[in-house]
Order: sequence, then structure tokens, then C-alpha cells
Amino acid sequence: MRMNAVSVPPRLHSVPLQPAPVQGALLRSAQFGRPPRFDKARATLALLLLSAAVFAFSALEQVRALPGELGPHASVWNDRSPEQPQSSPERQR
Amino acid sequence: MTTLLGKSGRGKPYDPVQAAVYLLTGLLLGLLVLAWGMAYRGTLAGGWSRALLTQTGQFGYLLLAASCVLGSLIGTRLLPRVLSSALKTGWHGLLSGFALTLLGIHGLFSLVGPGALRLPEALVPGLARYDTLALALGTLSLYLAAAVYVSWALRNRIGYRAARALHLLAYPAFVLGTLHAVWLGHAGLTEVLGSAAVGAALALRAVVQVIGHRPAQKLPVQSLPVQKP
Repeated sequence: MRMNAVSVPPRLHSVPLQPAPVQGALLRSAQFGRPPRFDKARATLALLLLSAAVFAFSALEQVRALPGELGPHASVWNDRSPEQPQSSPERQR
Repeated sequence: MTTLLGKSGRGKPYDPVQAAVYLLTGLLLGLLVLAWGMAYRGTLAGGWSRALLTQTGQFGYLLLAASCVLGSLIGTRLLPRVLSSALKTGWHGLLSGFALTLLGIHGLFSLVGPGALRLPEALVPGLARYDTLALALGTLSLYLAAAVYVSWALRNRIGYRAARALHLLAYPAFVLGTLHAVWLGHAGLTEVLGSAAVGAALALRAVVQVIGHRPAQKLPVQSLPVQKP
């Protein structure tokens, strides 16, 4: 029984081999055999995003935990001593 | 310099990552400056300035712990091999810079809000009216951390050996920072995790140093049997 030969279109032979799509610095450096370099801009951006997330989370916690303290600080209307109660004689008058 | 408008002055192409770094840095620093100014004028609720003081301190402490862990493991074979030397030292430096910046902001927020320190009290250890020793430990910790960073930046001038010796001050700085936080009543998960991580990394480093410097054992020399032709 005769096997059918697989016919390859002739144009495929002329297509040069393309390098595989690379993703990330680690893979790229592994393919080309050089150690991964430190991308300072991306690392800084990552840390800045982490900082923003931490502060945003803290702000949300603050809004939830201290709903009564969203107004001005107590020292705005007394003599800048927050330990004193807000019902000062001036305010009672 | 890369600008947001496109080409930089030296002809570098527009880098969106760098532009995002500038934008986010400006945004975060702007918000912190706004909060500090409002707290200074007394128009920010006391809870907010207290929360910012605590958050900057704790986040800076965690980054300092991460930097200490990475720094103590650089030079050993305990880190994954995929981390090149450039990656390790780059992250170590960046984490240290972020930690130092946050701890500096922490010091600035101690000057405003309820129970604010005066500038000499914050700068000179031992002058604070309350929690004198705990606040002095915090100031000393910040000075030591700054000394480590500045000495490494000037290593070409002061010499590599001196800068490397001064680098060991990072560990006293970390210990003083831990004591500062614990003494002020912030002994929480942050301090426990940071101390445990740095302690474990230092212990591993010590073990690696001891094993690396152990003298090689002399193997008994066995005489080979002489083969007769």
C-alpha cells in the first residue's frame, strides 16, 4: 500500500524561523544566555504602587474606624492642646 | 531626561514606565505634603495624622526588614539562582532607599498632630518631654540607617572597606527601630514578622559563614597498590 506523501506548500520553506515571543526580562535573558538586568524604573513603579495600595488601605480603615474624627482637629477651636476636653469654658458660653 | 511630552533632551525615547514613576511619585508626595500641611495648621483630624505617622513607620520598618534580609543573604547561595547579582543588589538598594524615605516622612509626621514633638526634640535624642528613651531610639535608628545609605553612596570617596564596615550599622538601626516601636506600644504582627525574618536571615548567614570557613579535613592518604608488570 502506498503512503500518501505529505505535501508541504513551497512558500513555507522560504519563511525564515522567527524567534519565539518572549515575555518578561527573565525569559528573555534565559533565551539569550545573559543574566537578567535590574530594571530600576519598573522596580520603582512596583514599590510606588505597593506604597499607594498600603496608604489607600490605611485610609479606608481610617474612614471606617474613626467616622467621628473626620472633622477638624480639636486644637482648631481650643488652645492647641488635644488632651483637654472640647467643652472648654469659651465654648460653653 | 525623559519628559512626559515625548522625546527627552538627550534624544531618549518616551518611556511610559518612567512617566508613570514620575506621576505616581508626585501624586503620593503631594498628598503627603498636603496632609502634613493640614496637620500643621490643625485642620486635619488627629486620627489621620496619627494613622499616617503609624503607617509610614510600619511600612518603612517592613521595607527596612526586607532590605536587611536581602542584604544578609547576598553573597550566599541561599537565594534562587535566577536572581542575578544585579537584581539582588538593585532591589536591596531600592528597598533601602524607600525605607529611608518613609522613615524620614515618619519623622516629619512626628512634628505635627496631637502630641507633636518640637523640632529639637525630634532631632536630638533624649530631649523629648515624654517617652524620652523610646523616641531617642527612633531618632538614633534613623540616623544609623541614613549613615549606612550615605556611606554606601560615597563608597568611592571613603573606600569600599570602610563603606562595607559601616554597612553593618544597618542591623543596630533595625534593632533600635524595633525597640522604638515595641516601647511605644506597637508590638504587632509587623514587628514580629520583621524581627523573625531578619533574625532567621542573620542566623542562616552565620551558619553559611561558619561552614564556609571550616578548615578542610585531611583525608587519609591511601597508597595505591603497585602493579607489577
